[in-house]
Amino acid sequence: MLKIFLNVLLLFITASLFGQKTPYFEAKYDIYYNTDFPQIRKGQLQIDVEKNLTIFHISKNNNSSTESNSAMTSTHYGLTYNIKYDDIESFIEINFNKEYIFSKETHRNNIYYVRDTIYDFNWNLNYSEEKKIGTLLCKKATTYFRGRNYTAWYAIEIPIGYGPYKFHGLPGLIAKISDDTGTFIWTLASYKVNAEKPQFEKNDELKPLMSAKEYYEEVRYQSVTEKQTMLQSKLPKGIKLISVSSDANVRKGIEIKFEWEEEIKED
Amino acid sequence: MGRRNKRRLDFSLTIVIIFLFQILCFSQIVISGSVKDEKDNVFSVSVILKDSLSKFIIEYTYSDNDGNYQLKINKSGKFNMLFASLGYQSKTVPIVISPNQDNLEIDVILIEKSMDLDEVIILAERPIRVQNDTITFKSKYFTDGTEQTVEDLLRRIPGLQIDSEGTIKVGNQEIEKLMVDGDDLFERGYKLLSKNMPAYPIEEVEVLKNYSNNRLLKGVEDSEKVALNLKLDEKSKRIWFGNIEAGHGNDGFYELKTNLMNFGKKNKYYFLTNFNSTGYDATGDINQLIRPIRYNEPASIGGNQQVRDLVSLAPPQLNFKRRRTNFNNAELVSLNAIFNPTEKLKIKTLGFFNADETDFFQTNVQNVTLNDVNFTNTENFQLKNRKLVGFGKLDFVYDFSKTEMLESTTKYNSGNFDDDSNLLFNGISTREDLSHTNTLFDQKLSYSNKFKEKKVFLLTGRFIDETTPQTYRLNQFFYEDLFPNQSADNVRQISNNKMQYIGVNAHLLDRKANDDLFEVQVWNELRIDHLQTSLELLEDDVVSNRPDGYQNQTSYTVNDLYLKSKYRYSINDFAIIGQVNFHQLFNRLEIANTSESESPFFINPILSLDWKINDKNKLRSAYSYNRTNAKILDVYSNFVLTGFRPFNRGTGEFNQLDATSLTFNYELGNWSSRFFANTFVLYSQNHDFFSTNTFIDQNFTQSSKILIQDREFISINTKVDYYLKFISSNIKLDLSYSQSEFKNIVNDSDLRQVESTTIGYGLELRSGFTGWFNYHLGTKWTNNEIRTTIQNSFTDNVSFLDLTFILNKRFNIQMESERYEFGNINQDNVYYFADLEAQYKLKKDKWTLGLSGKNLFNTRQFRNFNISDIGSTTTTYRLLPRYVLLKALYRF
Repeated sequence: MLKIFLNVLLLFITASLFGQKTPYFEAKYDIYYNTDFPQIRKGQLQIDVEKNLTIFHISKNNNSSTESNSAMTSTHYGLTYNIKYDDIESFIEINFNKEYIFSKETHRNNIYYVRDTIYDFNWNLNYSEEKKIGTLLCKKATTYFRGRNYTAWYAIEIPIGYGPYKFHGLPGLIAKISDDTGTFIWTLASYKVNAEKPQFEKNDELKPLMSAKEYYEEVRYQSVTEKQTMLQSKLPKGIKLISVSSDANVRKGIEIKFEWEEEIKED
Repeated sequence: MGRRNKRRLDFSLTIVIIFLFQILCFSQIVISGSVKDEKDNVFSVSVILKDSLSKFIIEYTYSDNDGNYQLKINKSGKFNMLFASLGYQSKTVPIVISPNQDNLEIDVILIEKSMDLDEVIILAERPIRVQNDTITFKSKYFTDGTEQTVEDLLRRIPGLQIDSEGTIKVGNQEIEKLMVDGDDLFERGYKLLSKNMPAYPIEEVEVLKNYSNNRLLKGVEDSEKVALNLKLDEKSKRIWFGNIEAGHGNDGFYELKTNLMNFGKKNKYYFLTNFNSTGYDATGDINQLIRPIRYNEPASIGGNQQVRDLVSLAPPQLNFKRRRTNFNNAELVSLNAIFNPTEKLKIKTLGFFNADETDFFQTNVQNVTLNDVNFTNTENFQLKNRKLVGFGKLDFVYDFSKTEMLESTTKYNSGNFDDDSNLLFNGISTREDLSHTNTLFDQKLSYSNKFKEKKVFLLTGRFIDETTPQTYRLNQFFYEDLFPNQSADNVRQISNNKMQYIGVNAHLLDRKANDDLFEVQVWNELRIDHLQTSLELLEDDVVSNRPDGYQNQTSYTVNDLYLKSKYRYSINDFAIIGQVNFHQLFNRLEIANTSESESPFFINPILSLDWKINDKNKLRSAYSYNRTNAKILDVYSNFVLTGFRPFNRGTGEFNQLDATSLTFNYELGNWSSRFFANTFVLYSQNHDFFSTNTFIDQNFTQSSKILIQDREFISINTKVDYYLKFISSNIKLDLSYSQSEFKNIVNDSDLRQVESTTIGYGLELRSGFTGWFNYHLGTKWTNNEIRTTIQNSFTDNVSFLDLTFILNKRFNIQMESERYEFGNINQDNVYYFADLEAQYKLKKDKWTLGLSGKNLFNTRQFRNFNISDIGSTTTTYRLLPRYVLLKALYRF
């Protein structure tokens, strides 16, 4: 009996080896920003599976013009004004072992380097729905992250627990994730298991570096956007306001409500 | 083996079994283990605990760098454990957890499998498709089923901005039109569609950037326009939708508006009515459909050809809202439809019928002070205008192929007008009666061919026939001094101004590889005007005389063959646009039985430059030399009665008028920055112009057109905007100066020089609060001065205060108030007006209640003061009294 047991064990041990694969995985995403100026961008997620490091690159928007300008043209029906800012590439680098996120943010033509903590996603996997995205059979999961509710579709057959932007922690690669208002949508376009080694940023070269709290409070979401009230006050007579779209106080980024804000409320 | 060994084996097996299947406590069972491959190294293996049907995931984790994992579970039962990693075959291990289970250890060895090492492309349905200038949104990804109207649906498409009035913008630019399956009924009046059409049949929303009205010109002409196209669901049935708004107020003021629409994939219908007595002219909305405004659009020939009425009894243009003086009772009914019988053919029809009766009241005191003539005329004027207008338009668009198309537009208009005035002229009771009709037939054909990628050829032809016969009757005879020894007690003038126009235009647009645009156009316009007038002096009903000098039989034919060429040359931020127009005219004037002809040739150059010095400084300048040809109303030779006092006549000969104009525009700062200043200077000199030689008498005037040299006009206008941060408001300063001088002859004088100067200065303050309250106030002074041998001047002031209250999403109130002050009037020279609008939206947006109050201070009349080169006039107008209207709008 023991012999049989040992023989069976031996059978398990013998296995044939196939081609070497690298520890680097790469996935490309299409990102839809359905914001004031709708844009489609390309995102590239590079993963060092061995070292638990990921970097997500977001490309420039190809469709916009490369100059930043602000122009007022008087048409026969009124005035139109356009403020366009230059498009710059950005990235998000996550080190799961050392538990930090370094990201390059751009706001109104300025570059900022932000250090953030890794968010512990609380995923709800209690869904039986399955959906095919391309050839991948995906399952549904939902979560809440900094002010928005997201629905994600992850592929179990790609057992890599990462995804675009800062999303991670699902049993498979996130093939599609979007927020419930449809404003931000990331969709997997392609993936590669044998990728080149990703280029990670030299962290000491990321200057000026500020914490996420500093960045969002002082740069991204100032309390009242001065520009918005300024433009509203320049409208000529005859243009009536029936309701004020308080755009100024509406946060429009991906992350709109933060843990540190909720802590203050509890006090 | 032997008995001893067997016992040992059983014992080992038992120990193994005990070792493998440990009994765990019910509360927390830990499943752990290690996952490796044959070579002992595996990283990132996902370990998933699923229920026995493998439907739900209960727990999951990833193995660490040593290949170990740990899962915690609180339940018992049957489960499946799935181990997966890239490059390996995934393994499912069924496990059973009994209630008193101890911790479980499951170790797994994964077998490698060959992987596709190339890039794997995922093809999934995209919610948004971007293709060059078209962005397509699939509406099902953006809606949640609560959307009622198209406007609600468009609010969900992020990237589209809908403001509170319903204006749709892409980014910050308003759309040109809102189409449904490529069909457009409303042009800029699209709100009628977005606010009423239901959202459920819309499958896709397309955003079309750099939109061209003529699809073949896309990418060739310069266009910043943006349009939206809604694509209907194939399965959607023919839907009826629309709205009804009814309002009733004091003293019989009422308002009834209905819009009814039926849109299917192939055919679309739109029916609207407007009945009101609140002074609102609904044809303004219709005008967009009749004469779509297309400025400088290719193939827009003949758009400016019109026949002017000789005699006109109409309320004058005032410098405040027409609604205040328009006592009316209007009915407007309109039906529009689009048919798409085949894929290549599109038919659009539009028809409307408008009946209106308006009253106007004014009192006039005119003072004339010339060297030898001094008098005062008083008029008490009550005007009643009745009109009945029917209009029909038929549009065909036929696509021969992807690069060739033909468009045909046919218009027919028939208007019947009856204008009566009851006049007390210097105490004499007078009646004027003007009955006239306007019949217009207009046919346009346009052929477009995109023969190469960036080159388009357009050939357009247009034929217009318009006639305006008029009969003018006056029941008094004021002209004894003109016709001595005549026994007459009333006057009649029968006239007809007829026009026929044939125009042909060939236009070539060539967009070069470096993005410069070259355009060349050849036009031939033939216009034939017939003017027939006949003045009859009557005694009771018998014609006693048709005096000479007061009858016209004029025919004026102008054929203009011209070539327009335009080139835009740009280097970085500097652009020069050169345009040269060559004109070869053939003129023929037939007066009574004599005829003359001439064929002048001239060149009109235009040079403009556009220079963006830097982000904060922009300069634009243009120079043009323009020669124009006299029109029919400049050339007829005998007097025509154009009112109850004035007689007018033209020159009786050919004339070309030359003018030079220079404009200069400088922008400092940006409109979106705190400080912004915009200066505009216009200088123009008319080398020749038409002035008048007038004989003025208390009871009549006789005016002949004469040709004079040199008239100068200069206008300077500066607007400065500055944003004051501490009050979140913008202050605007508006300064303007204009001076013009011209010459005329009055009562056999020498050529008198008349100088007119206007200076304006105004200040405005507008808030930019983001809360529920906003204000806008301002004041403007205008100083007018006219200098001839005497000097006359006056200063007016208009101030306003607008308040906006947006209490919540459903309820808002708008208040507008104005104050007018007129100089040079001793009493009653300050007037106050206030208007109020409140709106409340009931649930589900189906019902909206409104309250509208106009002229709340009940200002009954309004006095105005004007100066001219011969004296001054004080006019008093009667205004619509205060009314308050309660309105309800229902949408279905």
